[in-house]
Amino acid sequence: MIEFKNIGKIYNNSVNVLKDINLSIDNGEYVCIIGRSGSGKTTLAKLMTAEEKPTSGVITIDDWDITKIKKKDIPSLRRQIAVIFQDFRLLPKKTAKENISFACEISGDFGSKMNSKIDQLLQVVGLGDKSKNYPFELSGGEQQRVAIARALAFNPSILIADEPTGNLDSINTEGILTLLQDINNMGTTVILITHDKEIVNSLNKRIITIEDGRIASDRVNGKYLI
Amino acid sequence: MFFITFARLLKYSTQGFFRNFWLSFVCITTMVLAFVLIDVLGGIGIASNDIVNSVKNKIDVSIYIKNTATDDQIFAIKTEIAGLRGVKSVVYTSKQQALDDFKKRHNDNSLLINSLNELDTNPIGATLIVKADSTNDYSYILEYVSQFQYKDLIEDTNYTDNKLIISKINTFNVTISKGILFVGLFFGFISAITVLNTLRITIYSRRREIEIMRFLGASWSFIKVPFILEAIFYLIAGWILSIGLYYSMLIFLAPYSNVFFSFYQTDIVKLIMPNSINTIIVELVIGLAITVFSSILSIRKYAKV
Repeated sequence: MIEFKNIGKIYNNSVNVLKDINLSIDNGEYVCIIGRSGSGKTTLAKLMTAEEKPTSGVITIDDWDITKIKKKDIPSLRRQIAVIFQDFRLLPKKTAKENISFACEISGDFGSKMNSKIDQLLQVVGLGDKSKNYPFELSGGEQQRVAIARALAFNPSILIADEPTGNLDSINTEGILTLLQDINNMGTTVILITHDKEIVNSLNKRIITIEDGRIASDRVNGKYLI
Repeated sequence: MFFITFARLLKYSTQGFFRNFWLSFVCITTMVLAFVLIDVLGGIGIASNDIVNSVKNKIDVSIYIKNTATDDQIFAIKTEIAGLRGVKSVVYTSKQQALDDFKKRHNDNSLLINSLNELDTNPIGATLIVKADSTNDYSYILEYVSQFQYKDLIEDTNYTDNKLIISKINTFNVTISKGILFVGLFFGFISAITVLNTLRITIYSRRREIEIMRFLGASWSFIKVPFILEAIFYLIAGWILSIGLYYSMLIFLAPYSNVFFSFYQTDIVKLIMPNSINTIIVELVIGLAITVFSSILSIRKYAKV
């Protein structure tokens, strides 16, 4: 379970991005965090991966207080909480397969077991025939699929998708959303950060709306109401 | 597991080396130029030092013994001088040998030769030719000779004639050594800064890659070690190429340098080649230190976890 208790985040002692956030997300949940640009959605994700530290409050993940996390433990946290981004963030000089194997190798996988895991992941995201292609040889949707396969290589308990369909057309968007649903069905907590009204309304999931750094609403099976 | 991890890090670094061709090319070129610059300066240093030493070796001081000195006295003088600090060798030239040498030197002057032949006795005394370890030792040796127990048997020395030359050579040597040291340090510093900044730019251009690895939760070794190894590959490639280029330059210049330095009876290229090994090894060690330092410094900036 992820818990935010009285979280506040102030940048440069003046910009108050998050104010008094109290929130809990159960294991295996699928949650959409929505809000306008600059409302604080991405900052919330950054706090979960310890990329940023809150100015006040406590964040716990399965009773692990990550606001007090030591630098040496951050890589371990990031292998449990995988993140996919709008700009894919693939390693440009590595092929699709190498991008995924890099994540496997970070996790300590090796040998034939690792190779079959990579092949399986490529099949899951539907890119079995593009394993040797470099990112620049793939379409946006394909690149995002590689990014998802790479995220799954960690066997993460939580997957944060920060505007994962922002650069994709409607067909690819649908494909990615289906993948995310499949991942959730396998028991992984999925947190989808977006400002796309159509996506949110089509999912019919729990929706947390952030406005001006505060939780404006938190509804199960909600709709986009901003 | 250690070997698997090491093999992976090695794989990442070789991939980076070959897949970032232009970056590798620029980096290696900079390193080749830096190394060749240092090698050339080192070569100039070795050659000039050897030329100065060879001129110095040609310098000696003649001590002319009075005609009245007996052979025993002459050998006693020779033994005492040979035992002095800084004396490299003392060569004895007998009265007869000195006379023969004199005649040989002036055989075109019949008046002088005839005059000598008219004399009943040999007017030329024996000579001791003294060579010192260093040109700085001559003043001490001659100072000693002017005061020792046999001083009355000494006719003259040619030290005064040679004093000016020795002093000029010493001054020239000191100036050249200081000059080469200064220029060497200056260009060494410039080369080090160039290599350091090239590596920083290389890593800066790949900062995005480092950031992604950081996001993925890669550990210190997974992020930094491949970049450091890659930088070491640049250095070693640059070093090997610079040796090839430098030695090719020497072989190419050999015929020209031998004509240019015909007065100096040593093959400059053959002199520089073996003596450059120290410079080449030192520059590799210093280069490695700069490379590792620079890489760690640059990566740390982008790999803050």
